[in-house]
Amino acid sequence: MLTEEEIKEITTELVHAERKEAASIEALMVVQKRRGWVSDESIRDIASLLDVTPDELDGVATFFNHIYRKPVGRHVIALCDSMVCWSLGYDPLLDLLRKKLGVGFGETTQDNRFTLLPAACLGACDRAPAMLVDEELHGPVTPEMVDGILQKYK
Amino acid sequence: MENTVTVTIDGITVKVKPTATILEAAKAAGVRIPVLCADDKLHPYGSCRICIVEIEKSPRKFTPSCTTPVTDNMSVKTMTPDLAEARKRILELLLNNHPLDCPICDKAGSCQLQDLVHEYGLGPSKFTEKKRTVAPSYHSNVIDREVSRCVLCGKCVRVCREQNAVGELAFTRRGDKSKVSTDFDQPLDCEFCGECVEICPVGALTTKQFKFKGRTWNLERIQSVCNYCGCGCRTSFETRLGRIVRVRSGARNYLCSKGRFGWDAVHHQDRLTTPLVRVSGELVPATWDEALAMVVTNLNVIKNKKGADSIGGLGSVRTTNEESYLFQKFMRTVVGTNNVDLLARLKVPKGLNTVFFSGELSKISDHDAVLVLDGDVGELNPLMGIEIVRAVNRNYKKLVLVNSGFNKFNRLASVVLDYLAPEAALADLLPAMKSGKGGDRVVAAAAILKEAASVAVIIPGRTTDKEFSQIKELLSLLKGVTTYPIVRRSNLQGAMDMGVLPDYYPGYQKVGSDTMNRFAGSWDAILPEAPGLNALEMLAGIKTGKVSALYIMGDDPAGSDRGLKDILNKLEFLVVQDIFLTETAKLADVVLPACSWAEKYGTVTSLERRLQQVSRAEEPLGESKPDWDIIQTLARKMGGPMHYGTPADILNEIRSMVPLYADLAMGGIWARERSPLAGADMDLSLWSDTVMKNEVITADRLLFSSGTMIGRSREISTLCRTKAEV
Ligand code: SF4
Ligand code: SF4
Ligand code: SF4
Ligand code: FES
Repeated sequence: MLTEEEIKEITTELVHAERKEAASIEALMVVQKRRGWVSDESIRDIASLLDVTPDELDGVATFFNHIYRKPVGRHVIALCDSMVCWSLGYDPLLDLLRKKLGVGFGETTQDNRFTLLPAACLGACDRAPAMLVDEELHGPVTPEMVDGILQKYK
Repeated sequence: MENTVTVTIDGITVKVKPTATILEAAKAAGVRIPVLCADDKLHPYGSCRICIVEIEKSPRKFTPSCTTPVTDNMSVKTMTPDLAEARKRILELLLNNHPLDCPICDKAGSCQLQDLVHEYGLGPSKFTEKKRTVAPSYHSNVIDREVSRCVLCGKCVRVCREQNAVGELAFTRRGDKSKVSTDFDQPLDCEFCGECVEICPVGALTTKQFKFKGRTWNLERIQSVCNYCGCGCRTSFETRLGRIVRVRSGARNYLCSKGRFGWDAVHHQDRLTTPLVRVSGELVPATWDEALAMVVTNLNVIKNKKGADSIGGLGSVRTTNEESYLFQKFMRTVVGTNNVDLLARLKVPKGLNTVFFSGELSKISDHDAVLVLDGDVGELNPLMGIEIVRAVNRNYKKLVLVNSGFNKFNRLASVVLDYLAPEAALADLLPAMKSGKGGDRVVAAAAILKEAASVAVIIPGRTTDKEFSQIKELLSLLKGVTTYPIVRRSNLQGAMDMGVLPDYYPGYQKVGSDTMNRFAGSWDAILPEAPGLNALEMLAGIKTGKVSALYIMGDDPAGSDRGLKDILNKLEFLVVQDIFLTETAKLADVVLPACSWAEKYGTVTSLERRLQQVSRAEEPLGESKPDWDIIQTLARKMGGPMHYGTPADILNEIRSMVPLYADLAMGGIWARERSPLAGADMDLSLWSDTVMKNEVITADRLLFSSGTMIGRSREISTLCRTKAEV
């Protein structure tokens, strides 16, 4: 069930949308902001609020990298996973992150601190290899910088 | 021509609307452009790129023709060596992830991907990557998904959303992980129309019913009409070795779940295959001669003893026009009574064929606004529901919806009036129309309706007297009205047209001395003078002893209303002619096995008053016979002159007796103005507070319920979560 607060905030978003479904992303983000991720149940609830079917909304939700359909850790690392980053040092960076965190793509650390995800792409080719932690973009990231970056997120 | 542009396609010059796409212009020029994701039913989408063309003087090398509008003097080439090469590459990329399991794919032979690969002749692929495989889904009723075969054209997603307004399918994930899925990959929970299967260009969506039943190139196709509701959708029976294996949509390009999957009732194990007669209390098999002799003797005895008017006939909405015509003719000329009627008149919209005549369904979306007075329309007349969706989704028309519940139309409506009954909604809407006063919603609804230069009004299948007069008043306040009464029963229109009515001869010609003389002359018979008893009066007459025998063709009153069992049991003699041993047939003294509508020829008349041809796809089962043949054999044995070789002979006689049908072409609609009852402020429906008051529904959704036949479809029964009887 959506909280009253969530419903209120989604309803506010609807004012800007010509058709209710146009507010899909905003509505998903409203829920994610509060709960960290979007469950099947939330998809159903939001869908009925927006007059779309759960399936249609799930189509939107699963299309976007930054809408999480599974629980994530306190911080989400999105490592840019496309051509320019590949050629400018993505591989060693990924190896290092894997080693340091002990998790692979799509996984969350034991202490629930980090979730590691691939992102194609962050649109930051000028700062390749790039990674996004929560809402902060880092790049170009060298292996030496990784510890320092991770430390900022508790 | 005004407002057209000139386009040249492969050297052929055509004039088309400025809004046309290159693909449409090519069609007009008679040039074929290959497509995968485009379909006339859907908005342009442009996902597959196989339809690319070259436009002269365009900076762009290739342009997709299905999404690009034409411009004046545009010159287009649809086939060049470069295009052929590019299309090959597109196909190569599609095949890269395609399982190529054609030998076990039901689509093989009618698969657009297979056809295109054959046409463009691919060699070995450059790609060596592993194919993407996605687990198939076999856990839905009726429909399987072989997801790996999907080419992601989006047609299923779009047809389900745009045409059906169901939205059961969507693409989830992205990139090479994207796939067509349902809500969280749960089994389908939808209308089960199978339109997604029909529109899929490949074998990614298939039906369980047809799985491994035959290769498409071995099938014979017989054009016919669906018999499950008044919409009268055209169907194509596909047979293999003389047995139906699949039904697909015909000319109208839509079928609902009943039309597409419900035909299997024809193969139900309980079909009657021989006549049955009651011997010391039990129904036992008999020969046709024995059974008919028993009917003849009993009807004659009762007629001699109590008079012809102690016998009654109840006709059917499932039989053909020819059969309905012969049935009333038999009752009138051979038995000698006007006691002939349809119990289905209890379910006729008030005012049908007098005040309300239906417009053409395909023209609903031509109106500026659609007013739906019964939110169940999509369940009762599915095609009508689809046309309403089309009006909104395709033609962007406004929908005003009166609905006590919540369903797909609520999402489409500009205004929803959620009243418990139409009566209450109309009670508020009428003053809003007249004075502009009332609650916000009725005022908004009234504004839409008043502004519209034309309104399509969906009339409920059942209305109270009050509602009937409210609706008439409302219609007088609207401009450009076309009514669309909901007619659930399949050939109800035809049965009424054919005069299965106690007070009207065929063609709504009132029983009276003029008409009697005319019909008596043509039929060469002495006709009863007084109008007969209607269906309710017949049932009441059984109780009082006025009616001693009934001949029921293709109807199951006892199945529809258990209370009628006791009444029918009081009859001295009951003949039932049906394809199953229905609750009513179980009470009969003689049961005559009719064949199904897939096993005979004839015509039916849809709710649009459209005359359509029903064709035989299979031989009659066992000793069953077409209803018309049974009636005429019986008539002959009773001394009546009926000698028809084929249903076409009967249709010829109908044409000569019924002006409405005189020059009615097959596929044509009879003009309402020509009916003697057109515009009369009267009502041909019957009303009872007791008889068949509640609809017996055989499923939890009206959509999957429609009586004797559908109740015996195995496929449809899998769609019903609970068997409810209300
Ligand atoms: S069967 Fe009909 S309603 Fe169900 S998913 Fe397919 S198109 Fe949609
Ligand atoms: S299942 Fe068929 S219709 Fe649907 S997207 Fe795939 S190929 Fe197209
Ligand atoms: S809409 Fe009516 S006529 Fe058409 S397929 Fe369905 S039941 Fe048959
Ligand atoms: S048919 Fe035009 S892009 Fe698919």
